[in-house]
Amino acid sequence: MASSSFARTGRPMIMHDKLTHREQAAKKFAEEDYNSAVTHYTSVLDELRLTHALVDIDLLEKLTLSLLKTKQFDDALTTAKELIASAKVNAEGYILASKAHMGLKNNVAAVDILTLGLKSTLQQENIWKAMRDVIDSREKEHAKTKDPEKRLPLELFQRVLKYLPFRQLVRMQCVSRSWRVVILNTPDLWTTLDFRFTKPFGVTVNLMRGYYSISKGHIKKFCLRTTTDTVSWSELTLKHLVSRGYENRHKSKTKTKWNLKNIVNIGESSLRYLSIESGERYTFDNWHSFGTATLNVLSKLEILRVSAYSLSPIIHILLNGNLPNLYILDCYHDVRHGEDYMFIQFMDIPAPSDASYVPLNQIRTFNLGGSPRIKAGHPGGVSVRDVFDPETSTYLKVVIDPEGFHHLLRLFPNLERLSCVSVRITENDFYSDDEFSMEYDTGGLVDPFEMHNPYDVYARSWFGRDFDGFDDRPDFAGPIDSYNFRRLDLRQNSKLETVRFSHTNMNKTPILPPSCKTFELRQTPMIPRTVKHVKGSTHYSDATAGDDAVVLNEYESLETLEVSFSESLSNDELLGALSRCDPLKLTSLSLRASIFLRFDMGASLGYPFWEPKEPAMLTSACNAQKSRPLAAQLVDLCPELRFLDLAENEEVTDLVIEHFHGLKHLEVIDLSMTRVTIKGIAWLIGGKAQADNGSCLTVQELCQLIKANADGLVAGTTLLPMTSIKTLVLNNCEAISEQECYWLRSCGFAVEHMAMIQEDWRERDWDAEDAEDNL
Amino acid sequence: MVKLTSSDGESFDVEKDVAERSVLIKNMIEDVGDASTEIPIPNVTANVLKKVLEWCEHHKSDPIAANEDDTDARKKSTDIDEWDQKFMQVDQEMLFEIILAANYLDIKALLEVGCKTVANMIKGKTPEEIRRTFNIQNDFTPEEEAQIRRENEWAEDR
Repeated sequence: MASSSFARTGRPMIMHDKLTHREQAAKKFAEEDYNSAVTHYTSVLDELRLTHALVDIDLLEKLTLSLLKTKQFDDALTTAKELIASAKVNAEGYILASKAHMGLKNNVAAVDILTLGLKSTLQQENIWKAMRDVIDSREKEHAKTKDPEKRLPLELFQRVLKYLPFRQLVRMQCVSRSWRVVILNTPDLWTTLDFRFTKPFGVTVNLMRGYYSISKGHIKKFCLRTTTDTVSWSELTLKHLVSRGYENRHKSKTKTKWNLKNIVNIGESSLRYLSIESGERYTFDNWHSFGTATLNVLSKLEILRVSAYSLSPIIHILLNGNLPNLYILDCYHDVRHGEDYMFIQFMDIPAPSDASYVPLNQIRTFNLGGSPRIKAGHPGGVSVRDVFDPETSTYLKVVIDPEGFHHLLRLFPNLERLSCVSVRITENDFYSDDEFSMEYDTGGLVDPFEMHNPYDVYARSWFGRDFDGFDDRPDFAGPIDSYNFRRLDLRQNSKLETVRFSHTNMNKTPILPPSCKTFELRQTPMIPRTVKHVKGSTHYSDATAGDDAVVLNEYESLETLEVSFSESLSNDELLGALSRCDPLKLTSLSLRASIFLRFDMGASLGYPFWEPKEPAMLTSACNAQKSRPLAAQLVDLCPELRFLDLAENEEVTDLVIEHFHGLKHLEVIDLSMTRVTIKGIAWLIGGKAQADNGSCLTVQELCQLIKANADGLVAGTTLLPMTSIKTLVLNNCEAISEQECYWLRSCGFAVEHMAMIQEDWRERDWDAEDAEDNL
Repeated sequence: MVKLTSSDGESFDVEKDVAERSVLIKNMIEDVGDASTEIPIPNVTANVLKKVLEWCEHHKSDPIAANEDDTDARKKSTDIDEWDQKFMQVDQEMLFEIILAANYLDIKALLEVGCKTVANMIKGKTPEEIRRTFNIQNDFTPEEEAQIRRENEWAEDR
């Protein structure tokens, strides 16, 4: 070793040394100590190269052989190529190179180099022999694979895999494609997650998530160490596991089997977020055995997400002061109940006058209903289409009794955000209704809801009544009797900032507190204030009396108003509502898919639900303004709008949006699925700008002008004001071409223009998406 | 004594209770009713059969686990007793042959030892080491392999 360092340091070489190297190398080679031989041969060659001496063919051959013996195939190949270069007619180089290629498992290259050898040398015989070797080895490899996946029948290979720990199984997916297929498709490998032998802190939520996803729901057994100090959860989501856990617990004799209570309890000292997304009845049926006992101990819990079935018991846990840190309560509708629906009754929730009334000051956010299939990034939960199915219209899933709901909301004096999605607020009178029992003789069957869609029931009990003004859509209006509860008064929740009712029958709008900034009514019908109100009438019942109290200043704090997917929003109602907003505060307005809005007309078409703030004044104003189109009045009423959503309104045309040029602060406008053309967009951006010759500008000219304006090229000469609009959403606008969008983008607008953005959500594979969610 | 004939025609005289470690042979003897007839073992060659019988000889007095509980197989313990470990020190080719023979002859305990031995050859190795051990071609592109690794980071022991 010491001698080889001479070569590296470049000291003058002594002949004696060189000889020693060569001799030593030959000696080691003869002794079959190929590692040392490689070292010595390399030194010799290095020395030779330094002195620019002719490289000895024998040396190269020996070095290559030694390299092959020591399995350094890459180096062997390099040396062999050198050998070929220095002795082109010598067969040995080609043969050695082919061997190196074989070592590298590149039989094709081995054959290639031998073919080259056949052309270049005369020693054909040896090369043919080598060629034979290559072919033989290839055949041998195929016949005698040692891959257990190929050698053993599938069943036996799976048996081998069962002996391996899951972490290694996960890693072993990389071995080969066929291994991966077997590993991922052997459910037996993924039935047991046993953490009893895992080192402390090895168990993470990520690990559990990963395991669940790879197990594809086959997990049957779940074991955790029973000592609580080893695992510290701060966040835990349990999906589709609860029921299996319970089934298993009853069958199994082993104490340590999967058990929700165990898992939750393990986190008791640290758990801050708990989401139980089972979707099967077990969450509810076993609630009193599992839920109360389990949740009572989670003193640090901050966010809880459970089936709305569990709402009632949770409120009682809260009332007992056992979840002092909980500030977000999220009670979703269990979609896996299918056509089933859930009714929540709060018979035993104390009314604010009760002595036992304890306000739950810590609750800031309360969500009721909706589906657990919340898409990330969708604010506040489900998108409309996640729950709305026009075929069956059975989207009102959570039914809550009005009195209980009133009491419930009074319990949250510090609530900042209230969201109700697919919630029906009504008395649950199905069971006691004589009419029901007459029409549907259940013949003593247990649960009428197993047989009938509850909305059929409503439809029947409703159609017989005299009700004028609405079409036969029980989903939108519900039976008249259910209107008898008063407006939901949220003024007690004096910190409420966001109120959302989506897919509900909140046909009387709630009375908002002055703190409210965002109010959304999505697919939520409104009915005329009195049943007696008849189309065309101008006489209302006394609007300030009793439960129907009109609170004139309740919208003055609103910054965002959404009345979308509404089948009852008329021009009068919209103008009435907007007239009660503070024009300087309202910056966002969404009127998506409001089919009764007539943009080409003024006020007084439908039933005023939102009466104008000052009725007398507006009546006169109305008369004067009747001829003014709605769009123009919108601009007058909310001049500060920054966001305007008019999507999915057939009525919206070029002539309508032209008016919105008057909104001087508008930044985002959504015109998806409307009939606007590029001309309308041009008017929206530039007003009906006139060129010098007095004719309308073409869009292209307009865009050029805007661009020039932005570049400051024609400053002072242009007619165009700088527009505040930044984003145009034009999805599914068939009249607008991609080329036109290109012009718009080139002027610096953000343009969204996707065709057919509406996927057919009815045919989505929900289970697959659930599986994705699990990831 | 029972006479067993391997696929390549070699005959072995073995004690009945040794041969009956194999459920297959046991059933055949019962079916024939006469222990003296020759029993052909068409799927097993002489060298493998010899090895299997060696194992049966050593384990002839073991209690037969009547109904081997399938859940036991899931116990991730791969402990093998010392004699069996030595017995299994054969080349991979022979190892696979023994497993296949044990499966065919229905010798549960031997099959278990064989599978455990293979599992032990895999255990604790990286995918690359596993490929080298069994001479398996990596048919993933580097990108695919990296992707799989990324997806499975959750399982890394940290």
